[in-house]
Amino acid sequence: MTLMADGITVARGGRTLLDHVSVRLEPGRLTAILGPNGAGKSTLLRALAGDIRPGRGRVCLDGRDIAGLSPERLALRRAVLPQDVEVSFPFPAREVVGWGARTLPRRQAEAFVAGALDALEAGHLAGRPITRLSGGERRRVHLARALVQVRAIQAAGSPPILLLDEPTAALDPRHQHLVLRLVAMVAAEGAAVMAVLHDLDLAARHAGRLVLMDGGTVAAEGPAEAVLTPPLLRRVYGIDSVADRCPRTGALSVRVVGCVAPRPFGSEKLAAE
Amino acid sequence: MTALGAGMAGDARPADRPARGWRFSVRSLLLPALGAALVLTALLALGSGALAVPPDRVAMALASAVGLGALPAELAHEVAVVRELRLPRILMAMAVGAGLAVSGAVLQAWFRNPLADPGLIGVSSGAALAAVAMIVLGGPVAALLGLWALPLAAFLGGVATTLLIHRLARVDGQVDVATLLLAGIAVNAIAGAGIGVMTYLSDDQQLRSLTFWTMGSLAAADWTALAVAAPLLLLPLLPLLALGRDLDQLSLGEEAARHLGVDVGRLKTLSILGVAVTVGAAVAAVGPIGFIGLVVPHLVRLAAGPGHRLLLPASALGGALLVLLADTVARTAAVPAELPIGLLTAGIGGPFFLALLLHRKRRYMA
Repeated sequence: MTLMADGITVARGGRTLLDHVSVRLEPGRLTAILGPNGAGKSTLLRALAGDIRPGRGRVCLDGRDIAGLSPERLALRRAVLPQDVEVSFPFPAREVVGWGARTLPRRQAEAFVAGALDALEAGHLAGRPITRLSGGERRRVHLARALVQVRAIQAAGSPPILLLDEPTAALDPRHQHLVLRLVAMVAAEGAAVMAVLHDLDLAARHAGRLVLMDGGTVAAEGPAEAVLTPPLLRRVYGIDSVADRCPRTGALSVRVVGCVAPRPFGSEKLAAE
Repeated sequence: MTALGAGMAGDARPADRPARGWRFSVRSLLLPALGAALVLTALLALGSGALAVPPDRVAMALASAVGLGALPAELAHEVAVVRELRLPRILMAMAVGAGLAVSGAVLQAWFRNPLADPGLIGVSSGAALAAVAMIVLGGPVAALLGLWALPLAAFLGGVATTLLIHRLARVDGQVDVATLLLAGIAVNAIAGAGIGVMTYLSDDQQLRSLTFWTMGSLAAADWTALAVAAPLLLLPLLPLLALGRDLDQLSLGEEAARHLGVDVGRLKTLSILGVAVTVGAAVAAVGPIGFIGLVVPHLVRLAAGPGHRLLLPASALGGALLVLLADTVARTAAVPAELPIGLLTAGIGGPFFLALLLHRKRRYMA
C-alpha cells in the first residue's frame, strides 16, 4: 500500500527536469525531499500527485499506474499542498478548508475543519476571507485543507498519502516547527507523508527519511545521518556545514556555516570601453 | 484523530456571531426576495406600455391565457396586447437575463476572475457574427434548419470563441487578466467588423438591423421565438446550477481542484457547453445584450458572498429581473419609439465596470 515513482523521466521545453528517478513513500513515515533550486523537487512532487505525466517510467499507487485513476479515486487516497495556491474569490478560510472534506457529512466535516485550523493555530482566521490573509496565514489555511482531506481519507477507511510542497515557506520559526511536528504526527498515525523542504536542520529533526536531489536525479537517500554529510552537502549545494547532535533531543542538527564566495559584480567593464 | 478532530464542533466563537448572523439572514432571504421582486416587476410590466392596462384586466388576460374565465368582447384588444405582445416579451426578457447572468457567473469561475463577461470577452459577439453569417451566407443550410438555424450558428460561434479566448488567455495554466480582456477587445472588434460587412452585403429584410446585432432588442420576441429560445436558455441552467460546489473549488485553480477530487475535464466540458448554448440562444433571440453577466453576479457576491451554490440561482433571478427592468424602460421611456436595450445595459454596465476596475486598483495599490 504505497505511492512510488518507478524510473520516471520528465522533460519540458528541451530540458530534462527528472532523469530516471525512483522514490517510494511508505506509510508511517515522513520523507523530506531536499535539493538546490531547480533540482526537480517540485517536479517530482507534481509527478507523484498526478499533475504531470512522466515521459518514461510510471507512478504507481498500490501497484496501479495513477494515469488510469480518476480524480475522485485519487482524491480518496492522497492530499496535496501545492507550492502556490491562489484563491480567486474571497471565500472564508473555513470554507476553503472544508473543501478537503468533499466526501464527508457536513457535521463531521465541520468538526475536522475546526480541529485542523486549531491544530495549526489558525482557528481565529476561520471567518476571514482567505484573500485578505497574509502569506503565512494562507499557507496554514491551505495546509489545514490538506489535513482535512487526510482525515476524510482515513474516514473512508484508506491509508492516506500527503504530498507537501514547501509547507514551511513564509512561516515564522515557531510555525515551521509546529507544521513539521504536526505532519510527523500524521505520518506516525499511518500516513505516507512527503514534504519538499529547504531547511536542512528542520528536515534532519523531523523527517524519518531524506531524499537529496541534484540536477533531476537522486543524489542520496536514507536517514539524516547518511544524507546530510558535509562532503555531500558541499558537492550538491556548494555549502560548508557542521553536523552535530542536538543537546536537547539527540537528533542530528545541521548548521550551514558558509558557502562558496559570490562573484563580485558591478565592476564589470563594458566591452566598448 | 486526537489532536485534529477532538471536540471542536461545539466551539462557540462569540466574536464571529453577529457578522455571521447578518450574512446568514441575507443569504436565506435573497432568493425569496429576488423571486418576489421578479413577479411584481413582471406584473407591473404587463400593465405598462403605449397602452396602459389596469391590473384587473392584466389578471383577466393572464387567466384567459391559461384557459380560465371568459372574456368580455370589448376587452379583446387590451387582452391581446397583454397576452400576445407583452407576455412573451417579458418571459423572453426573464429567460435571457437568467441565462446571461448565470453564464457570466460560470465564466468568472472558469477564468477565475470577476471581470469575465460573455460580452466583454467576446463570446456574445462571436455568437452574433456566426448568427449573422448564417443569415447572409447560410442559404440552403439555414432553410433546412429553419427556426433552429440561428441558435445553432450562434452556439457554434459561442463555443469557438470561448475556446479561443480560453486558449489565448492562459499563460502557464493561469488565466492572465490583461490578455483575457485584450483578447476580448480584439474578438469584439473582429466580430464587429464582420457583422458590419455582412450588413452591407445583405438586404435589410435578411438581417433585421445593425442595431439589433450590436445592441440587441426584444421587440421581435413573440411566442414562436420564445418556444425556440426558452428551452435553450433554461435547460442548460439545470446542469450549471448543479455545478456550484465544483465551481467553488475551482477557485483554487484547476490543478488544486483536481487534487480535491473535482473532475475538471468534465466540469470544463459541461460549463463551456452550457455557457455556449445559453449565450448562443440569447444572442440568436435578442442580439448581444451586454454587461448582464458582469453586473449581476458581482452584486450577488456583494450581498451573499462568493459561494456558487447560492450565487448561481440568485444570479438567474437577478439577471431575469435586470433584463426585465431594462426592457421595460426601453419600451416605455420614449413611447412610441423604443430605445435599444443594449444602450440601457451599457449605460448601467459601463460605469459599473469602471467602478470595478477602480476598486481593484485601489486594493492592489493599498
